Amino acid sequence: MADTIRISVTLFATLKKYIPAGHGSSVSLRLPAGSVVQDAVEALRIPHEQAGLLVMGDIYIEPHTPLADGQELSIFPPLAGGRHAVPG
Amino acid sequence: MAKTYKAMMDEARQTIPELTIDEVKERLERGETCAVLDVREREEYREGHLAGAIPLPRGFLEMRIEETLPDKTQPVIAYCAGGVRSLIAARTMKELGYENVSSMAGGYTAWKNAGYKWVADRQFSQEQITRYARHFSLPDVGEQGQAKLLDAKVLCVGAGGLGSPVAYYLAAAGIGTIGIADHDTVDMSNLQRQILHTNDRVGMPKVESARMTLEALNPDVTVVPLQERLSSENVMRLITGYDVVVNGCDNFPTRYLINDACVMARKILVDGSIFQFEGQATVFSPDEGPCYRCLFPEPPPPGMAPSCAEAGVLGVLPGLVGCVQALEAIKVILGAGTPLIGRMIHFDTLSTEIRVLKLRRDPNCLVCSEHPTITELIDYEEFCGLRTASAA
Repeated sequence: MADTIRISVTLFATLKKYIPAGHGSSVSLRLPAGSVVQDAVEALRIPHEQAGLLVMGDIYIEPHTPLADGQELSIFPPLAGGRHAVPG
Repeated sequence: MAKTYKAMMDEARQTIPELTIDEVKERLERGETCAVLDVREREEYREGHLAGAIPLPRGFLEMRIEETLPDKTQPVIAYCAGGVRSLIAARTMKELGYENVSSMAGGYTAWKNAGYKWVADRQFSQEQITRYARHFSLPDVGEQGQAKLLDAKVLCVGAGGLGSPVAYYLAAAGIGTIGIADHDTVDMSNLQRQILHTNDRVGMPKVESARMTLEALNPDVTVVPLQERLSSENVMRLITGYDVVVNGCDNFPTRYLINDACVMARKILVDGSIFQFEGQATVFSPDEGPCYRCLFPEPPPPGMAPSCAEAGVLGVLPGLVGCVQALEAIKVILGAGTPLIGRMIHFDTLSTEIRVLKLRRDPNCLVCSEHPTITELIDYEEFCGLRTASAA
């Protein structure tokens, strides 16, 4: 079994700034085998309270859900509304 | 040789069973599964008809019957005013393959004269018949659906970017009562997206500007202006009496306040939010799906932000999200289709990608679980020095 897995993470709205420059809205991450969703969030240095909706495919998942090689994770932050920026 | 009218009717009577009004009454009271078809004109139906009768005027029978009653084995009782039109209609249906069609002798006139139960739909004015004609011809709306819309009461929180298209389309659809909660006044910088307001109303309370626009669009609508800043003190009073609440606020404290209040008052909340080129919408329905706190348990801590610069928003984006909110509110009121409960639609307009995410209730939710820890309304601190209840 491989020591590492590679997953793709897409970030939305206010979280886009956590994507390294030059990657658009998705980034490919290499993580140790056995990593969970929260490890991906931390690898991207996204503050815990901003990583609101964690979604695999189109289904909401928990932070402790294990990750597998080749998966595509999407993270949606809470959005305040309109005119004003959200903290962060 | 051509048939006479009498010969034609005699022939029809030989093939179509005629039921007396008592036989029909008995069959309906037994709860027999049969369709009752009213073949009179719309105006006649509107003035009164048998409860549960399906309106299909004789003139449209051949064209629409297969769509209206797809199961040709189902028993059908047709009636008209006196029993003649329904006999002819029943014969036509038999020719079209309906196996078990009968006609009610004496028709609606005999039924009503006997003092049997009948119902009248809402009476629409001539103007309303014209105004809502496109709703009347929709199977999921029709006259009964339009009556529900006219009787409905919807509260729009915010008369800003989201609240504008929401209230505009709800008014156009004929939602009878629209409450608008917004303490703010119209600013020139609002007009890039807040389409309820106009250049000459800069400085006017938004609720007043909204009332002028909506009542000019549709005089059927009663607009209730609520020029108040939402807080734990007034929110329960403001949402009382409304069937559905639509959230068009622009800040976290109000978002949490409205969510908690709607959970506590068992109200359906149609939520929407936007950011720059992205937006999302969902419907929170107590017991049926998650609430806002199932997704985002606590607001981000205030003061966490090093800066709170204006994020900007593309003017048309709240139009897109607000229209989805208005649509969902109308679906909820009509009971039509599948509401966006337990699902969230997310628009990324720059890449033109639409995602529908499946959400779920948090069994340990702070406010909507069986053992909530939040049982009182909370006024969270303002973020970035912004006030709590201005609109998107």
